[in-house]
Amino acid sequence: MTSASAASLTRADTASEATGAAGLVAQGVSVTFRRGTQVIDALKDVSLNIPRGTRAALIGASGCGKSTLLRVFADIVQPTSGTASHYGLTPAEARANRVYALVQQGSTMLPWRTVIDNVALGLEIAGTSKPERLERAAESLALVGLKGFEKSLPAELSGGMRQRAAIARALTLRPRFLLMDEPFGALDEITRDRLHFELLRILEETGATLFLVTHSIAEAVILSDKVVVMTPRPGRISQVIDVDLGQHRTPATREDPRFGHYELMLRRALHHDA
Amino acid sequence: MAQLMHRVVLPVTFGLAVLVVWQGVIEAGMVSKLVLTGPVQIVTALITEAPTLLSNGLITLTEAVSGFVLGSLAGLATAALFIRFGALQRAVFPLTILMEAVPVVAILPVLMLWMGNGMAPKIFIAAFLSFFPMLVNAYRGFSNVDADVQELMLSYSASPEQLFWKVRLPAALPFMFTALKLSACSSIVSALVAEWLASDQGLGYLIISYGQGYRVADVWAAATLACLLALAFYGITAAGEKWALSRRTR
Amino acid sequence: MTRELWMGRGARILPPVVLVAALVAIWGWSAATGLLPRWLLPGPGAVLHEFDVSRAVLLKHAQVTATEALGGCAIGSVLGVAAAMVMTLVAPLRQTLYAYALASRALPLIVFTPVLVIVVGRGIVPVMVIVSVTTYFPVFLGMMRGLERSNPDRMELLYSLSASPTQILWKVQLPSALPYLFAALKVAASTAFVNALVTEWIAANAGLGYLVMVSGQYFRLPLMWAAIFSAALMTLALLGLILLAERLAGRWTQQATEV
Repeated sequence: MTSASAASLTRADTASEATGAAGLVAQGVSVTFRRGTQVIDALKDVSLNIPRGTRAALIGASGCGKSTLLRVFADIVQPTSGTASHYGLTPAEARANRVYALVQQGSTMLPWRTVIDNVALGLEIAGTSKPERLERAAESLALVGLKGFEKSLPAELSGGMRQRAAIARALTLRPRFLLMDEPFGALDEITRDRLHFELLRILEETGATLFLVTHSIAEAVILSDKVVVMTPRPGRISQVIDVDLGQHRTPATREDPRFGHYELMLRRALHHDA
Repeated sequence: MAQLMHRVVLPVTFGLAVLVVWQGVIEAGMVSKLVLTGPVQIVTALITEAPTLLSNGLITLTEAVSGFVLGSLAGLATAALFIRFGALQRAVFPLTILMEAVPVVAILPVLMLWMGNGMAPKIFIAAFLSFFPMLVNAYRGFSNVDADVQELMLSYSASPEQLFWKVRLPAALPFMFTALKLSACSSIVSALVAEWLASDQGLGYLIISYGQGYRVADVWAAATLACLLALAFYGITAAGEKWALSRRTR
Repeated sequence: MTRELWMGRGARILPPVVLVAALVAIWGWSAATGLLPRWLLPGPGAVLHEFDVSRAVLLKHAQVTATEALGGCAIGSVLGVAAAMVMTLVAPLRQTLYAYALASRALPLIVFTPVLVIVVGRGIVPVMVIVSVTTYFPVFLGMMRGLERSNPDRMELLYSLSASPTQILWKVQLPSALPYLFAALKVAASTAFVNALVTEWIAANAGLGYLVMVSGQYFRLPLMWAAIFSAALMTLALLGLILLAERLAGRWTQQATEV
């Protein structure tokens, strides 16, 4: 993959970016669910600012509201109070303009479509012409290392390959934000390790902002510049830790003493809260 | 509040509107009274004919429920045998699926030659139609046990009987209720239809004889009662399912 | 590989075939020895002979029943699928009517046949109407369930791509609902002929159901059994067609449940 074609996967800067507007912002976001007579505070007064270009991870025990926060940004869950925005756009506007792309835990392939038709789905819905969307889908498939599997059916791919295809599907939209909800959660650790560095390379090549929900401490440290720690009941942010491991990371980064230091910090933060 | 509006108000309003328009069409004389009757007339017929309707309804219900119970029990027992003896299952199971394709109710004229025109052939048909859903679903339920759970039981060196009573039977309960709900409907229908052919009692018979006399309101009344009976039978079965499985579904 | 396949297939097919053959042999033997009285059940030879002798009569009545059952089944299925799609897209319609459709599955709608006969008279029409109605509801409900139960992750994905409800229906819900549709069609197919036969008893002067009833009244047992077997064969043929269609659509129906 040459960097020239990778650059073409990055969305052209718009006016709001040029003015230096903030990236992913949440201001006093609260979400309450009703389950029967029970009222659950999924999120309570969450404020957050992820500058553009940042790789951010959201970590916490299950049920702490981290997926809910991601879904607020994706315009899937409406906040009970407070606001969320992407580069100054509301989540609804961001969804309508396909500013963000969502990668779910299961790769969510439509099993009756070939891999390339799955990857081109977003463009197809946006009404892009068939030759163009196939070309762009092929580009992103090459970027995630799935060249040659265009005509395969999802069932013929391994779990790791399907997850790559899901990432490729997100990339074809040339999003400014990748919203990833435990994208590697269902994979074995060996595949997961390999995909971590693939994702880092793709982010470097496209310049997209990452917003990753995870419950793996090692994953949060290796993938992000900023780790947001959340605690459950009610879901709120307890700590934001900057991870200073440099822009370019390799498997060797894990042997860096600072890596272990950050892991320990996160573990303490999570356990302290519990 | 909005939910209540959507789930109750809209359908009820629609239902009432249909009834009012229907009655209006009848009152305006747009359709001959020999052909169609209105809701008011049907309710009146339900009340005036109540003794006849109820005594015949009871007969139909007896036939349907007896057949339902007998057929379901037989289906359950057969499924248990199939689970215990695999060879039996392999030989007979495909046949049972074939049998489901046979228009069993259509054999009724034959059954009447064998059993006369009393309640027996109707009960037989209702039982026959309840047998297959229970057999197929209960067998599927018995087989639906997690491989993990089977391994666990094996590690405890549980006997096949223990596996059946402690694991397979409870695992099959939701499947059995699926069959019971199906049979609740079909046993009523088959009892009614069987009464069409030869009988001098039961709701099915009543519907036909009213029809032949062109007693339009009475036909509707009898058919409505048949629907109410079927709905009640189904409702009781569904309530039983809800009660039995309430702890399992979250 | 092929040999193993054959052995596997043989192990599946052989036992029921042997059993059927044995049953037919016992049936023939007990009829021949008079163990099974002729008035109870004629022997297989007599029934087969009847297929030959009364070919014209059977064909004539089978045609009527086939028209009613296949026509009704087709009308009911098409309407059921169309209604499910419309109700998925139009929420107020669904909220108004779905409760009634759910209740209808427990209703013995066939008891309204005499009402129908009073309105439209006897013949093919009332039978076809009853078959359509009894096909419509299971197909409609099966399709609705399929459309409703589309994998929530897929729905969320399409939503995040800001797909329109129509796009979601065509690209996700409809393919996901196909297994449910085929399950419903199988149910509908196996009941279509029975319902046609039974309705003919009181609503028609032709068809296999009518033939079964009349030949029963005249104690022409071989003819009666020949008519019953004809109906069974037609049911199996229809079921076979649907299974074939399901296999052809296998890419959707099998895998839609897997990944």
